[in-house]
Amino acid sequence: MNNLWIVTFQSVTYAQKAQRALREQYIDSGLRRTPMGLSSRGCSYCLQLREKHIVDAVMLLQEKGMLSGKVFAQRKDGRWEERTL
Amino acid sequence: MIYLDNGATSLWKPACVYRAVSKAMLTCANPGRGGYDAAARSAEVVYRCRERVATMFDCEPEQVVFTANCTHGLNIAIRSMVKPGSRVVVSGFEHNAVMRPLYALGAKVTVVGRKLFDWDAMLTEFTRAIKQGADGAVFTHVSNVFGYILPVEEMAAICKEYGVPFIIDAAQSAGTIPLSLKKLGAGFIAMPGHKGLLGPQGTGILLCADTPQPLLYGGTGTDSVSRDMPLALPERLEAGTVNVPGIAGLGAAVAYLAKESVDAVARREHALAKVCGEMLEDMGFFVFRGAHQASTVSFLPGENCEEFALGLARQGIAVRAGLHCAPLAHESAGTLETGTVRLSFGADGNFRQIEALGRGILGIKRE
Repeated sequence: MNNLWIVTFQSVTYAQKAQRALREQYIDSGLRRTPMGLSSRGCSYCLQLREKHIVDAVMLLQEKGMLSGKVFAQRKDGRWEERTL
Repeated sequence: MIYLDNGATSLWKPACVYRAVSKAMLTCANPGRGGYDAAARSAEVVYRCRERVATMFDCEPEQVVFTANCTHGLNIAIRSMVKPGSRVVVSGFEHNAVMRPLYALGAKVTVVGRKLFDWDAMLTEFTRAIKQGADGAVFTHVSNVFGYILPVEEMAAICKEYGVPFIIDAAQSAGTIPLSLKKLGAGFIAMPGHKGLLGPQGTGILLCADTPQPLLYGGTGTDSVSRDMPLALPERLEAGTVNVPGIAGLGAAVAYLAKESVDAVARREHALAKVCGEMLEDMGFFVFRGAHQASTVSFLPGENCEEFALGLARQGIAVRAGLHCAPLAHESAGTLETGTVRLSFGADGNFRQIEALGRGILGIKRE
């Protein structure tokens, strides 16, 4: 099973807004730069989440209309793989 | 010093503002750029300020764009709404921060409501002008010269009824009169951070409900491969490094005001302006007073207004004389030739300031 997941956003502001929304539901996440190559638009920000939170987090962000980017899971070899939930 | 020039900038700031500025300078790197702690801390400081401003003005955090000052925000808003030849309705009390961008763009400007403190005349003329056909409207919330509070809610309702986009200049009201972006339905509301909001100079805010056109192009830390600015706000309008120490101070100031309550601050300031106006009238001056007046009072000193203000300055009383960068407002009031002496109270205002002003004026008369 993968351990770390990330959800990408179009800007740091939207990532911060999403992080606040998740925090209100007691879902911890870390704001970080998106690994290079995952965004076709160049630099961006993402929220890093634990696997146990990813489904709830994506559902919540979808409900609130805050999911504008993509979801990636980290493989054992360290590479990121896009996922659809 | 007795400081009565809060219409230009508030000099007194809550202690938390200085602390926040200092802390940001010591600990904050570039927000929205790096992934290390100092950059993340900086991004957090900026976003926290956006949240506080959004709560105060009833909008979403991403609709809060940081600008260098109110003029900067107005330029963005006006250039987004107005095209060369656009028919734009303005009040008779607009600042050059509104008029000069309109003239520069070649807008066809219709001026309405030139009678001071007269809401009926303003609304009648405004409605007529909007009905006749307008591509947009720009109006100040409070006249920076006379403290005249315009009926912005009614003007906003008229614009909405006729589908005319509009911009509000909240330079003199932000922080002292409650405002809601959602309820007013404005395309844009521009304001300074350093006047009624009690933040540092070099800060301003543009609240955006409509999609704006950038005035500055450059790095935003995201969407880097695009040749254009990102579509998403606030980054679309925030090219380059933002004023993090200023924004940190502004965030602290907005938190302070939220605790104090904007209504309470407004009541105190307006009461001071009323008492000050009465005192000046008792002293024999012509004072521009009326219903719907905020914390600013203008009067005619009966002599050269700049000389009069200089006389007060020599006694440690800071006021502003002249045309206040608002020749249109002075033209409306018939004071374009003379100018006025303007007194504007701030969050630290008190009755001792009015007593000191009275003594200062008597001192000038003795000279």
